[in-house]
Order: sequence, then C-alpha cells, then structure tokens
Amino acid sequence: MAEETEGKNETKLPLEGSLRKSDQALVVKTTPPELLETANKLKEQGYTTVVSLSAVDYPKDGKMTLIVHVTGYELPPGYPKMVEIQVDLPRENPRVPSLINVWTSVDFQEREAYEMFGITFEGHPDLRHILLDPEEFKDLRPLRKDFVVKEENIMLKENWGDYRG
Amino acid sequence: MAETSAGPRYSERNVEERMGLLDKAKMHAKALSLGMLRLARPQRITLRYPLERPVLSEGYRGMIVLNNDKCIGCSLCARVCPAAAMKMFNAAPKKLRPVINYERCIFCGYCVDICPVEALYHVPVHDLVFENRDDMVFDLETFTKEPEEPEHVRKVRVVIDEEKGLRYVPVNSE
Amino acid sequence: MSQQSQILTRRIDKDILEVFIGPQHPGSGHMRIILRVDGDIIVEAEPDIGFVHRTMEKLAEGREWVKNQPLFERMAILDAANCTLGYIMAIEKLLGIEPPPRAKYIRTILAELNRIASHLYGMGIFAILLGHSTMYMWFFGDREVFVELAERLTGQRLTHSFFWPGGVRRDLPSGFKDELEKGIKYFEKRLKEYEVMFLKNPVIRSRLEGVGYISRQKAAELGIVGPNIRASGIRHDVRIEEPYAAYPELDFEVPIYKEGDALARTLQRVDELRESLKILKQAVNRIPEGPILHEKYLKMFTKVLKDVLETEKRVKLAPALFNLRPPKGEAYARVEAGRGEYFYYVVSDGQNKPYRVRVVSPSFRNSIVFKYVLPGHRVADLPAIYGSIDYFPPEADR
Repeated sequence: MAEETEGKNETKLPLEGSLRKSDQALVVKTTPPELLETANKLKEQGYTTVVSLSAVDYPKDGKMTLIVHVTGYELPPGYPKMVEIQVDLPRENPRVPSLINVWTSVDFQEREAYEMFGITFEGHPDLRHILLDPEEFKDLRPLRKDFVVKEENIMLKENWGDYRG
Repeated sequence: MAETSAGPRYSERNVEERMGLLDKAKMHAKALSLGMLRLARPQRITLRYPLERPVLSEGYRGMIVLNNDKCIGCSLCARVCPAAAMKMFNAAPKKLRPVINYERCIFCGYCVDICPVEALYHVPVHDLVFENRDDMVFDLETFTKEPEEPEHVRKVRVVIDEEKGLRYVPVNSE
Repeated sequence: MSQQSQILTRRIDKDILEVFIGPQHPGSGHMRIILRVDGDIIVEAEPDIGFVHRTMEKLAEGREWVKNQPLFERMAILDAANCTLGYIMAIEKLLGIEPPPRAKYIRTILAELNRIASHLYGMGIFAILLGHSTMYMWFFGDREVFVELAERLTGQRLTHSFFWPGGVRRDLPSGFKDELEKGIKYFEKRLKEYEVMFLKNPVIRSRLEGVGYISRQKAAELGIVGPNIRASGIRHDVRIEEPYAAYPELDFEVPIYKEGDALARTLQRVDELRESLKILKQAVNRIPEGPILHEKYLKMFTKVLKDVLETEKRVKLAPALFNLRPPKGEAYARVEAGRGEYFYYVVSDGQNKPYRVRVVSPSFRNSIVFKYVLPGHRVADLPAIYGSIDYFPPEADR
C-alpha cells in the first residue's frame, strides 16, 4: 500500500477510519472476519449501494487488497460521499465472505473480482465467470500482476509484429 | 442545497395521468398530421456521400502527413501513439523517421500534438480507400505526401441552421 | 433444436422453456439475455455480458497515463467526453491540480454536447426497439447537429480524446457560440415535435406505462445509476453531489420522477435534454477568458509549443504531460455521464504508468436490472425495458 496522507475522520460518520486527502474518501481498514460487521454498520448508516468492488495486487508485499467503494443516496450532511473499505488478503487462495446479503449491488462485481483476481466470495450463490470465457480463463487471473500484457516496441519490425493477424 | 437559489438543484416532476379515449384519438390525429406534414415538407439532413463531400471543419483531425525536412527523429510520436500505429525505422544511418500504419491509426492526433518541431500535421482527408491491407501501411514516401482527394465530387459546406438543423451549401468550383 | 432458427429454445422443466436472446446486435451492441419463460412470462433472466470485453483495466497498466484516454473512450464512443473526464479528474486529484476556469467551461460544454448526443442515440435505439422507425430516424438525424458541433470544437466527430490533465486540448473555435445557439434553437423546436410524435403518442404510452417498474428502494438496493435511478425518485446526480467542471456555477435543474416505470425513464431523459440546452446556453455566454491549461505545464512550453497555442489555439502535448509521474497514492473520481455515473479509481506508484485503474461504467451497474427486474414481465415487454434502461454493451463490458 502506498503511503497515505493520513487525515483524521472528521466526518459525522461514526466509524473508525481516515480521510484521504486527495479525494476526501473515508478509508476504513478491516479484516475478512470483520468485513460483514463493517458492511452492516455502514448499511445502517445509510450507505445503500456498492459503487465498485475490486482488488489491487501487490506481489512485492505478498498481498492483495480487496477494495470496496460504498456510497449512499441522500446522505445526511457531514457524511462522506464515498467510503472505501480495504481488506488485505493473502495472494494464495484468498477467501472472503460475500457481501451479497448486505448489498445486492455487489452481485456482478464479486463475479468480476472472482474471475479477474481469483478471490473466492464465500456465500455468493452464483460465483461464475461473467466477462471472460470460463474455459480459456479457467486458471488465468488477468488483473493479477503476474499476468503480463506485452506492449510493442516502437521500432519498426517486419510485417508490424505478431499482432497483425 | 437550497431549493430556490440559483445553481444546480433537483426538481420533482410527475408523469401525466393516463390518457382517456378522446385524448388518445386526438394525439393519434396530431401524430399522423405531423407525419403527413413531414412527408410533404421533409427535413432531410442526409448527405449524398460520396457524391457530395463535406468541407471538414478547421482543425479536423484527419490523416497525418510528415514533413521530412522538419523531422528530427526524436521518436516521441511513436512512443506516444496509443494504438502502436506509428513506428520508427532507420531511414539512413543515425536518421530515424516515423512511418504509419492506417490499419491501426485511431486519429487521436497525439503524435501531431507531441511533435516538438511541428513536423507532423493533419490534412482534412479522412476517407481514403485502399485496395488491400498492405497499402494501408505507409512507407516514408507515401507518408510525406499529402493524400489527394478524389476528383468529380461536389464539395459542400455544412451549416448549422435554425430551421433545418443541418444545411449543405455547395462550394463554388473555382 | 434447429440450428437455423434465430432463437434457440430448450425445455428445462415442465412448461419452462429457455430462450436465448442475442448475442447478435439487439440494439446497441452484443449481449445475450438468457430467459426462462413459462408461456410468455419471464420467470428467470440471466444477462450474459462480456461479448465485447477488452480488459481495459489491464491494458491501462501498460501504458503511460495520458495514453489511456483514447482507450477508455472506446467504452462508449457516443459519450466519449463524459467517459474519459472521470479518468482525467482522478489523475488531477492525484496531482493536486485544478484546471483553469476557462478549461472547466469548455469541458462542461463538451460534456453536455455529449450528453445530448448520447441521450438521442439511446432514445433512437429505444424507438426502433419499440418499432417506431420514424423517431429512430429523427433522433439520429438531430443527433448529427450535436456531433457536428462537437467536431468543430474537438476535431473529431466521436472519439474526441479532448482532455489533458489540467486542461483541454483546444480553445473554442471562432464563431462557435453563434453556431451552438442556432443548434439549440433548432433543437428546442424539435423537442415539441418529439412530444407529439413520440412522448404523447398513445401507442408508445401503452407500451411504456407501468412497464419495468423499479421501486425507490429496489433502485437503491440494485445500485443502478443515472436517469434510471432518478426516474425512481432518488435524488442522485454527481453534478450536484460532487460538483466538478463548471457545473456548480450554472443554473439548472435535475429532474426527478417518482413513477419508476419505462415511461418515467423516457420522460426523464427528454427533460434532461432540456436542462442540457439550458446549461449549454449559460456556459457559452458566461465562459471566462484565460488560459486553457494549468500554468504549471504552460511554464514548461517551448517556443514552438507557445506559437501553436497562440496562433492555432491548440494545446500541444508537452513532454512533461506525457511523462506524467503522479505522486504515490490513490484517488477516485466520478462523473455523471449520459447513462449514469462513471467511477474511476486510480492507484499510482510514482511511475509514468498507472499501477492500477479501476473503472466502473454505468451500464455495468445497470445490467443487474435484467436479472432482478425482468422476472414477472412478458417477453414482449423486454424491448421496452431494455431500451428504457439505455443499456450499452461495450460500456458494460469495458
């Protein structure tokens, strides 16, 4: 995780976290066993909707961070517009409880995180590939850092490289 | 946010009541008469392309031409190309020059914008036809020549019009 | 099962049939909906998306920051300005800079031109799905006016790639204000004709009234965005919630409908078109003079770059902008696009390429509607619901 410009949670939301300077999002760090509890607390406060659920892979630190962005509609004044939940997971066999019973809106996003990072969401009723081909990407996790997409060189090659088809 | 003050604000609105039979008949008649009116007095904005060709607006990001005399071979254009359409090659020892592949080019104009000596520029042509895919790969000779527009086409100027939306005014042939 | 038939069906239970709709082009891109129907009532619907998936988030990790702009605009080229603005704003948040006021106004003008064009495109598709081919032609024809205006401003009809971090690529061309005002006057007249031909047309009304109802609570729960959520009575528009560009300085209303059916969503879009015209009128009249790129980068301009900026009003790409190295950190940004909210989350590790870019598009969030709203409706209502959601597959698949 990059060094954060730590700021105290000066918002009215009664939750432990730090306010990020760059975009005023409230960053809440939690662990897989406590994730559901944090989620429920947020939902009680009016955070009804998940905007994004994804992860960032940090092979150097040997971890993967699940990142959930939660927002609510017509929030009371003084509440942060965006809450970011961060959960550190191991890179080997990452497992985390599914949020689908808290927020229905994570349905497709958990499926996407599953196929892109290989994170298993325990309790998701329909954890399958959604965007990628289930056969071809059975064991490939495209958004992990060890999946490398080669960019072409700027020098002219015979027949414009291998990609011309 | 205060509801009355100027500035962006929400405003609640309602869908109208369901129409009664009489209203339905009236709206049917209105829609039909408008349709008939447009049949008699059509508002066509279709351009008869390729018989007519529009004069492209000033600064249109069309095809790209290299001014070989200005080029310093810094290869920034090839580095910035998001589609990897531009590549550098050795035109002479220690003389790098770019070439372009129009199979890939997306006309974003990044190469023109990054060139520190203005050696690349857009020409207002975007619709050349190639006989095969290999012709779309330009070499230095074709890349430094401005593409010619086909003859025997009527050039029209596109004018935004209050009544008709778009109007095409023929450009007088000199 | 016949291989020739367009729609394949399979019996999966007594009286339950499986119908595959797509993945040919059902209107605006390739997607498939797998329906389980009892008679002609949908009992289960499963949106099968991903036919135009390009893994943009991965591709973005291998390219310099500004090079991703043309990539991301290919999610929805009909709304190119709105879908890339969020990415540029996220970079600006990392850099801690704000574009100068004139650049903000130009961004607003292009964003609204795009919103109109995008709504007209979506409504055109909607009209043809309902079998109303006249309106399909009218919507697409009138869209051309706004595409033409955008071309004069940016130099490209659709793929504008118009922003630099900290500014825009070009200044307003001369005479743009007059042309824009002519276009607005023309379109205001046309809006009245739309009403007669489409919105108050009894046939269209009976196809839309009460169809695809999404309650306020369900809309929030499913996390749908854009005009769709506002038509269900939820006050949510990023232009108001997290103001960006020149929006906080302009006077406009964001319509809210409570009904939540396909008709409300349609009226919602048309009302938004009216508000966009209002925004455009104000923006071209109030636009301040000044630079169109952040001074931090203007200072680094060489003589050639300065000359071009003065004579052609074109901001060239300074090497400093190309080799951008935002400080380590994360930032999110969101933008209200035609179809809803674009969300970008960028992570920088201090290099000239992003460490991670997460993008969530409005259509991806709206695609969940098919799974949770379609059941209970008749198959014949599917086009009305699909069209009224304004779903755009390439945007959902990214």
